[in-house]
Amino acid sequence: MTDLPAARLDVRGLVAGYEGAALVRGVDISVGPGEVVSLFGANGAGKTTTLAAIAGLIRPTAGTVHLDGQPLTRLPASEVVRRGLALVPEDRCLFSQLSVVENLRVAARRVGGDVDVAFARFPALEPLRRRAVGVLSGGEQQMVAIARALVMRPRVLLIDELSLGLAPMIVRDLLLAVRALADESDVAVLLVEQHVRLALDVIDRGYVLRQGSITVSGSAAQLRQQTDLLADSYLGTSVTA
Amino acid sequence: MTQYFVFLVLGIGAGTIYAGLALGLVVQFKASGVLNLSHGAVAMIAAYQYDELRKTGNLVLPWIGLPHTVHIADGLAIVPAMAIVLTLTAGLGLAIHQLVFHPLRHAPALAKVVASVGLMLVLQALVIAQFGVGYGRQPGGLLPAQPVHVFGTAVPRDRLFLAAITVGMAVIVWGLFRFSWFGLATRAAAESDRGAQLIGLRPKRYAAACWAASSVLAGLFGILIAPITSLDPVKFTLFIVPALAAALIGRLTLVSLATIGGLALGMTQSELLFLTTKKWFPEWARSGAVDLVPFVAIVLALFIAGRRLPVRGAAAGAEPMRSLRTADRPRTTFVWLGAGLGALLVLQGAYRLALVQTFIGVILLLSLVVLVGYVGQISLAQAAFAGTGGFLLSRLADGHGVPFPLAPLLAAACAAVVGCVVGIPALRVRGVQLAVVTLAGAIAVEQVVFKNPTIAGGELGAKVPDASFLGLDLGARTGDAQPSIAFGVTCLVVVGLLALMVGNIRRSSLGRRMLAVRSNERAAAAIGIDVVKVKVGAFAISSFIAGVGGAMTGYSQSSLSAQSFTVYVGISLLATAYLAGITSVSGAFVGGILINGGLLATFAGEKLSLGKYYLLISGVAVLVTAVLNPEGITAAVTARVQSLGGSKRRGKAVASRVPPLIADRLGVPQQG
Repeated sequence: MTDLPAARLDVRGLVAGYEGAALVRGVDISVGPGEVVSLFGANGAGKTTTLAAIAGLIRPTAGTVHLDGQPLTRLPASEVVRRGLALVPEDRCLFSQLSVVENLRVAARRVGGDVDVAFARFPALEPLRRRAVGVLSGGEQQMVAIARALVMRPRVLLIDELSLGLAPMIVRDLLLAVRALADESDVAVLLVEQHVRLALDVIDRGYVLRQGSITVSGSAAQLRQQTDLLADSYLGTSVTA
Repeated sequence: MTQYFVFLVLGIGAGTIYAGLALGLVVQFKASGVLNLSHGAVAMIAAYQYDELRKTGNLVLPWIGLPHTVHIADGLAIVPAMAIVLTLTAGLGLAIHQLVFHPLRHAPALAKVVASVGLMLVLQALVIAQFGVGYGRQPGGLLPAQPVHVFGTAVPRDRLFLAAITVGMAVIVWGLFRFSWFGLATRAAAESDRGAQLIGLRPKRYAAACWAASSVLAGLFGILIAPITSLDPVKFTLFIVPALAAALIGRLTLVSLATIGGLALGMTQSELLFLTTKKWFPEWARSGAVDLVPFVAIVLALFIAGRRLPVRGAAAGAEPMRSLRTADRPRTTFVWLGAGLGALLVLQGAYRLALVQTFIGVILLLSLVVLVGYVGQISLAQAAFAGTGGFLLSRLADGHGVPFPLAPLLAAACAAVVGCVVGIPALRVRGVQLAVVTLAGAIAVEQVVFKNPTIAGGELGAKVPDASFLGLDLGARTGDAQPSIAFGVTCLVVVGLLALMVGNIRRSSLGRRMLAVRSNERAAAAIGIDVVKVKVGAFAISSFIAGVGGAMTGYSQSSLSAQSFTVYVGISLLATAYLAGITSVSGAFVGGILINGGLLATFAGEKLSLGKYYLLISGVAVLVTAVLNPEGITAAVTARVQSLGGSKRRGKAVASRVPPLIADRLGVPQQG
């Protein structure tokens, strides 16, 4: 995929970390409208830190983040959300004592969103409307987390560890839902995913992070050709497929 | 029959302030997971300000040093006066949130408890400094009080108005949380800070609004109730205890139950007060029966609803304190003891008296080092244990002629038994809630036992005869220089023995088990430590030491009164211990110097003429320590010395700066 669509999310030279230790060292990422892009990498490669820095949860030490040409760099997380970039964090950060519909409503009011969008996208949540989120299953909670991001009508959606603690069957359904979302609404999606093979079926492009830098990037088809490279990135050794 | 009903209705007066404060406590807990022990003091300061504004037209601003009196207008009407004071109270609530509880939102329970009692002491000292102790300050009535006939009985009309206002406010608060988007956002922001940020909320704003609103509520109820209860900085501040009982009845989250609980407590107390005047009511049980009500309510609420109480705020374990890693060396203790002996020989008059107070203070603080420092059990009841030791000593030595080393040891042993009993709630209750139980227990003991004329000697106080040992007269008032050097040396020997013992505990296997319980009870249990034994044992040791301290207090005064062991003594002990450093023996020595009546206080009073402001200054110091430097002065100095000596401990704790989002991915242990 050489002719990239106009970048909706544009990240350049991002450097971020904690207490002076840079975990992310100069990362460039771009995601176009309607694109689903995945970030691969071993534990500690800097995937979560990258997303946290883009979403404003931590302050990057260098680099820029633009959304449709508008700078988001160094804005606090609550401001970044209002400008149209939503993050589903890996621990989901749901309000577990609030009901499903309350979780959505509290997010929707902020940006003038509508909770019915979410129930249309995830019909499985409809019967659980009044249930406290804390008692839902992991897959249902992940749906609520994505739904909560959706009701804010983001232009860019970041999803960290979509599959954490979920059964592969549910992961596939969620990935397909994300794909459908991108196709139908022009949202740019950047996700972190450990199930490489499942992910490669739905994403457009992918980046491989290793020790804070991008070592490989390309379309899903290209990455599928290079599973040895991917394995290398995860295991830190050369493995011939 | 009608009188029973009249007292029930009269009880609505106190019930109103309990319910009003409980409402605020629930709102604050919902918003930031804090149980704010200074909430009663906020109500008090507003009531004082309002009374002053109405009487003199002067608005007294809550600070000293800068000009703090503004003349508004003479003969200000009720509504504008109330509006001005409540606006000021809202500002106070915002400041409290911004400066104290917001910075402490992820802090362990101990820092929050100390901050809130520090705030309580500051507000109380401020009121005393600005308005005088003001016993019997009687604000004019606000609500019409003519009798009205209910069920054929004449009852004061104002109680019915108060009940209506309380219920009205409760309905408003409940409705706001239940139906408004603001309430929803507040509940969301309270539950997950980061979740709120990720949906575009600024969590701090919602918490701040709740603090302002709850402070306004406290101020309003304080102003409304002051004409009934009269204004008194000691009593008013302690309305927090029944209010805490009411809030706990409402499981810290239910506005309805908290309000009903508050009103019910007030009515129960009033009815009980009436019953104690009956002939059949046992003489010995009259004193303090009323103060037993909130304590019983708190214990019942925690035991019955304990499992269903939200764990927020109490969930955070004790923080890993740097100073706990290194045990106190006996050498350091001997240096302190040597300095104490030197000071004893040099100092005279008021300073020697202060030195003896310092020695006794060290003993009392050592009891906290074991209990709070080593095991992490927060106790505000040390003065009650000390008092048990002191009054029992009087009984044994004065009543039964038990000689010197035996009488205080026996008295302290009995205090240890009492400590074990108090320790039993600690098996189920922890953190802030344990602090609440010990606070209520301390008040109950003070009112029921220490102020009971049939037990503690009443007006005259309990006599304690001078001690003598092997023919040596150790009395404090022997000779012309009082207190005598012999008594000072006796205190110093006791301090030395206890300090070495406490230092030894830290280095022993028991000490390691205590530290394990402190950092994680479940993990400790998982490696085979008997948590129950360690906790109860710590309470026993701690209250034994406190009992010895109380006995030495007894010897230092010829007669003991409840005044030496009030609940505020217990509160200041915890605050001072924390200020000095609650985890080490050296911290206890530093704390002894800082204690009210100790060396520094006397120096500040005599040389700097700051005596009037000592309580205020020390309260502020406690607050600043809790917010900025949670390990206390001693640890800060030690760390500075170590870093000067090129210690290998470079860099500050990285872990504490890593946000939880990433902390677990890095394998960094998460905090609070």
